[in-house]
Amino acid sequence: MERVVRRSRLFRKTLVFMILAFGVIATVMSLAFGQIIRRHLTEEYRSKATALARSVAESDLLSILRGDASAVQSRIDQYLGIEGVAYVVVARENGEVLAHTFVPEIPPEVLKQVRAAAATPHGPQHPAVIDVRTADGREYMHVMTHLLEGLGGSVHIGMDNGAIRGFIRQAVLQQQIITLGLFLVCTLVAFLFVRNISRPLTRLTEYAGRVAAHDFSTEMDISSKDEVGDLARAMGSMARDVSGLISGLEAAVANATADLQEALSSLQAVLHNMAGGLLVLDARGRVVRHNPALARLFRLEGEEIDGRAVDELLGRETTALILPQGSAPLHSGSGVLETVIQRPDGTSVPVEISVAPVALKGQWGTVSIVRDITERRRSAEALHQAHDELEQMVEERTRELSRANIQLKIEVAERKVVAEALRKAESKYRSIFENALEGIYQISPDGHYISANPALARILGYSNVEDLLTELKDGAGTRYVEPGRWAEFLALALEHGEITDFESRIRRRSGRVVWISENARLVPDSRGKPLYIEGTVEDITLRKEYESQLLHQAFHDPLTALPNRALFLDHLKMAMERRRRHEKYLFALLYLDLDRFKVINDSLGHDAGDELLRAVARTLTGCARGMDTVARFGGDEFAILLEELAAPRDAIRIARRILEEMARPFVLHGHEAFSSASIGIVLHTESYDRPETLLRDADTAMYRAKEQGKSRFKVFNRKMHEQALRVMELETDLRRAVESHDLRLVYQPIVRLEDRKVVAFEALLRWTHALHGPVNPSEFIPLAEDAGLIYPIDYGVLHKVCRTIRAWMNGDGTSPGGQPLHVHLNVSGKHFRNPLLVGEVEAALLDSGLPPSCLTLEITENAFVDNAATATDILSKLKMLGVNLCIDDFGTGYSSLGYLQRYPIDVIKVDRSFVAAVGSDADTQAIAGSIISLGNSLGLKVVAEGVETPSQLEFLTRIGCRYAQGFLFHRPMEEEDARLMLLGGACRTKSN
Amino acid sequence: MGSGKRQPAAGLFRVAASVRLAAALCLCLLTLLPNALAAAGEPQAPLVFGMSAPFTGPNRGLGIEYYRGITAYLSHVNEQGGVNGRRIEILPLDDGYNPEPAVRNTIRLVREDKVFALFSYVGTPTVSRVLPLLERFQDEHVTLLFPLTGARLHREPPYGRYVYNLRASYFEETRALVEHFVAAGRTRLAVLFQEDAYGRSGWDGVRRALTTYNLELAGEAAYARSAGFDADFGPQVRVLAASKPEAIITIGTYAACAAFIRDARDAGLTAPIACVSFSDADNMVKLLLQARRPGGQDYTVRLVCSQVVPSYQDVALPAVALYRRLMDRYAQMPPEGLAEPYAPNRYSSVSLEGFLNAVVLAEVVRRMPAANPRRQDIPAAVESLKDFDLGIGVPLNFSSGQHQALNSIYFTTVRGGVLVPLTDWTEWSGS
Repeated sequence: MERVVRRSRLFRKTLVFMILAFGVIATVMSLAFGQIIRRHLTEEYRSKATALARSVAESDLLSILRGDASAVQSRIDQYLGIEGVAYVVVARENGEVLAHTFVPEIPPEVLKQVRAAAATPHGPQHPAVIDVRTADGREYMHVMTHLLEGLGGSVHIGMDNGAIRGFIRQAVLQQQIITLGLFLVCTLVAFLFVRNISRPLTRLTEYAGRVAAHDFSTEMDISSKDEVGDLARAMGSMARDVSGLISGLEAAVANATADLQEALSSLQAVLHNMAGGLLVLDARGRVVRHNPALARLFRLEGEEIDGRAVDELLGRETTALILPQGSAPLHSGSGVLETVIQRPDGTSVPVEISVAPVALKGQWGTVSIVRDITERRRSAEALHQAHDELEQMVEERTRELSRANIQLKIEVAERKVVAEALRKAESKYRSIFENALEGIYQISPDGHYISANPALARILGYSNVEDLLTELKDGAGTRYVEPGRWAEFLALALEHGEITDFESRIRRRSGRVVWISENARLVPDSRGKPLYIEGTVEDITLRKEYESQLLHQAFHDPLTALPNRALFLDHLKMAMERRRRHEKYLFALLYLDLDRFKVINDSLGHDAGDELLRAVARTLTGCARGMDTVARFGGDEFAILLEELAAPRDAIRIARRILEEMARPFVLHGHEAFSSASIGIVLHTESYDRPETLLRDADTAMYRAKEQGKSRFKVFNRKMHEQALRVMELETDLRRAVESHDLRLVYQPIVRLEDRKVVAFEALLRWTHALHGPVNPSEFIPLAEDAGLIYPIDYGVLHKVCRTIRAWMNGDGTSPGGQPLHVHLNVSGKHFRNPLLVGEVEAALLDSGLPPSCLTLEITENAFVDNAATATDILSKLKMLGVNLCIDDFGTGYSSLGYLQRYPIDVIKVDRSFVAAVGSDADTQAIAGSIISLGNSLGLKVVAEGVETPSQLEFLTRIGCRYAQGFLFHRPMEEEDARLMLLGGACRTKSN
Repeated sequence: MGSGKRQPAAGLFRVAASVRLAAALCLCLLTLLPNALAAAGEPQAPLVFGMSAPFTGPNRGLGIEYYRGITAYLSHVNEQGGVNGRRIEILPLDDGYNPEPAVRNTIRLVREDKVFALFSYVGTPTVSRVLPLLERFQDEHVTLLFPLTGARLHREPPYGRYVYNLRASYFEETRALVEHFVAAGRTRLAVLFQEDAYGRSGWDGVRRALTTYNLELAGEAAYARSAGFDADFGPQVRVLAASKPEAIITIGTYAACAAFIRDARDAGLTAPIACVSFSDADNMVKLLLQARRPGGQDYTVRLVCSQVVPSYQDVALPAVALYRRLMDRYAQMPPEGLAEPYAPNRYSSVSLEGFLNAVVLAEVVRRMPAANPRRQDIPAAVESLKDFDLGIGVPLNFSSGQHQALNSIYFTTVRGGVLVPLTDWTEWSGS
């Protein structure tokens, strides 16, 4: 390391010098070169540009003067190919640019020069050189030449200074590479030179260093004839002389030292190996010397003892004994004394100290030998202690023996008592075992009875336990009805160690099958190996029977014993599941409703109704196949699930058969009753996800069948679904309309034909749907009836109409025209099943103050038919209130002239269908004629509806009809219009 | 490219040329020999005309369309037995629209192939560099017939006497454009020009035309000749937009003009843009239609293209009718290996111009001595065309002082992607 550093230091200096020198050379030369090249190139470019400018001036002067821009452009384009030429601009005398080579336009800096040239028209003929720097950072040598002293314009040639700089850069780079090469060569030469000089010098330096360190072992091998060589040789002889002197001195010193060393080491050995501690004190009581044994005694090994005061070690008392007194020795001879000394760590040790005076540096000191006598004292004490312990042990042994004797006697007595208790418990548990109601048993893990109680024998049908054990010695499992049940029981018991409520059927000895419930547990021995199984058996046959009965009741209709809706849905769900698994699996759903059940129920009584339902159930079950499910959904609704159909037509065939069977008369309590059914069918069941949807669609189809005339079936299709949706939507909207009072009333005048005066109005309900526009009452009224909305609607209408008409009236109950004013109001047949109607009518009359005789309630014929039982009652109550009753649409339904007699009717309305047909159909004319004359002869008011043509009017007048309404007279009008009409006395009809 | 491969026609011509030279000698010595040859009924050697035009590079559409128009008529004539019993053939060479190859091609055509005349050269920078050669070859009576350029150089002394032009000059085209724009109230006119003799010629034309109205150019921008359709014209658009022009006249090639129009429209410059006949409106519109992105703006709106031939849609003109018929039947692509791939237009103004060139050429040949036509007979034959009906509605006139036959300028614009004649300038009137 040393050598390397020294050598490189020398070389580094040289290197630094060279870098500086070469750096200066390179910089100076670069600058000089650059300057020379720049001057040269600039000159060259200038002359090139000048030559080009002259060329333009001379050869193209004519084109320029003539302003032939194209020719000039053609020429200057070629100049761009010349090295260094960046642009050419030719301008005319006035500075106007004739041609240039810039893309896309002349930079403003260049343009400035062109303009400047034009501004000094009589400039020098020789070219002017200006440096131009454009905005985008390019630098040009702009050479401008005037043509014809400026009269011919000017030529501007731009030389690319960037190119000049490029050349300079290149040249400087080359020059610097050469300099760098030279530098490297010089560095190498310098390195070799420096190494040649410095190596012997370094070696000489190293040698001098070794001699200084008294190392004369090596010689120098420098043999060069130069100054360095002479120096080396002189140094060599000098080193040899010094070497001889030093070795003589060293030998004499070594001899004397060896003698001393010998004496000292023998004394040292004695001191070290003495067993007693040696303590030499001076006159002041300080420790002068000691040996290791003393340090061990005081546990001060490794610590400095010499020089310490002795009373620190031995305590003041002992010190007094051994310390030299004054200048004379303490005792004339040596003395021995025993004492206990305190160690610095606090423990004490008995010692024997022998003291002898000694002369020490002119004073009297003492030499003491200190011996540890602890061991000697301890052995005497141990002997004494051992004797005492032996005596004590003999005494304790004697006491223990007498205690054990008493314990034994007590245990013998206790055992006698326990044995007695055990005997009593055993007999108690045996009694429980023998008399328990539950069967109790123990069986071996391989299934053989070990023991059993009488109850078990009873349950299994044996008279006593012995028979049971004898007959079932082959194993308890033979009694189980299900073959694998017993094995399962054993496996469970062995696996879990316990079984609870294990229910199985077993065969009694007599062969009867009963249900038992078993609880058992495995009893293992102390090593955990199964020892036996003990268990109880309970006869649960009764409970099982109850359970199955309850189950049946939960899923069956009590009346017909058919599955109920819940079970049916379950089966339907399973059928849908199967359909999902098997592509080919076909099933269909039939939904059935009796057409005339209500009539029969009402007329023949509920018993007969129930009988009919049972009979229908039998019929349906008969028509269905074994795998089908026939269910009653309550009321007169049935559903049939047809499974495993080969083709959809099978379902149709079954439906047809049901209809045929249903058409036969049923005998109920001696009466022959006819019924029929309407059936809705869903055939394409594969598209359904939920059973409820499927049922809903079947229901929809069934209703469609009913609408189309009963006793028929209808297969559900997509259109029905959409219709159902629309109805549902409409119902929602209707509900909203009722709540927000969107339903409004219009009034159609009823005209007395003899004087054409308006004598009454029929109040009509209108509904304009926000989306679908006006909705026909024939559409939304049934909807309201189905949804139960008809009640609030009709009650509202009732009150409103009563109030309105009352408001129109004069005080005497006549119209503003002096006529008595009547109002007709349509009442749904549904009210005949609701007892509230009469009360509401009464309330409306009272609230409004309308005279009852002014109100006529219109009821359709079908309302009477459907509610024959209650109609009489309600109608007579209404009559008693004083209101008039009218049969609407007379002649369209089950018209029975009997109604006219049976019910207190005041008005009949001839249906518009008759009126419409009187012009064309002779039969209709006859019917209409007879209705009107019948009404007249019964003293009823007869109103013709829907009169639209004069010819109809003429016919009606001719056959004696007195009242009419229709478009021929008035269309239904808004409340305000009707009132104004009354007020204006415009009670005349608008036409004749 | 053409110089590397020897054309079959050239080889044939060398044989034919030696025969023809021998015939010329004979004419000098034995004046009866031509008649004897004709009487002998031997097939006459074809007349070969040399053509240097761009068949490669971004402007190859010009050369190829020009060539197609020429061959459409000449094939027709040759099929009918030629003129005076001689076939008229074209030897095309490619110069890529660069002056140096054009000069080399001309020397080769005159010295090696010894063509009868130079015919239908394309481009101002190329032709203007070829002109001195004509001076050099004056002893060999070399004439340049009907080049596709409207520059001044070859219409004026000193070189004008070696060149016969069929088409109107750029001065006339630009003057007509300026007149119409000024009449329409657009006085701030800017020029985009190709930075060479062609562009400068158009620039000069616009400038001079404006001077007559005491107007100056609102703005100008140059672009490099090598620019194709993929070039960026952003700097030019910025320079021109800064001058707020009411109309822009472009003097350039079709690819460059199309690129400029695209960039100008993209930058929101809505002023009408006009171009001259050399900008090959058909190919320019084709490029603009291709460049249109779905939902992007229509680059072909507000364009005016001046033309030196009538619209090829105007079938009422007999020449146009003939052109359309012969184009479909005879138009040829340049010989294999000469041109770069190119999808030709069925009809175009450039090919119509080439076609008309060929019609006039055939007429010139017809007016030369049937038996022994010589190069020096060409000027007399051309200058004999007086009130000649070319079938385009205007008569054609040459004379010794008038080396340009037609002066009419036509305008077209684009409607629904199709070039249609423009006669009503009201929609171009400035606001």
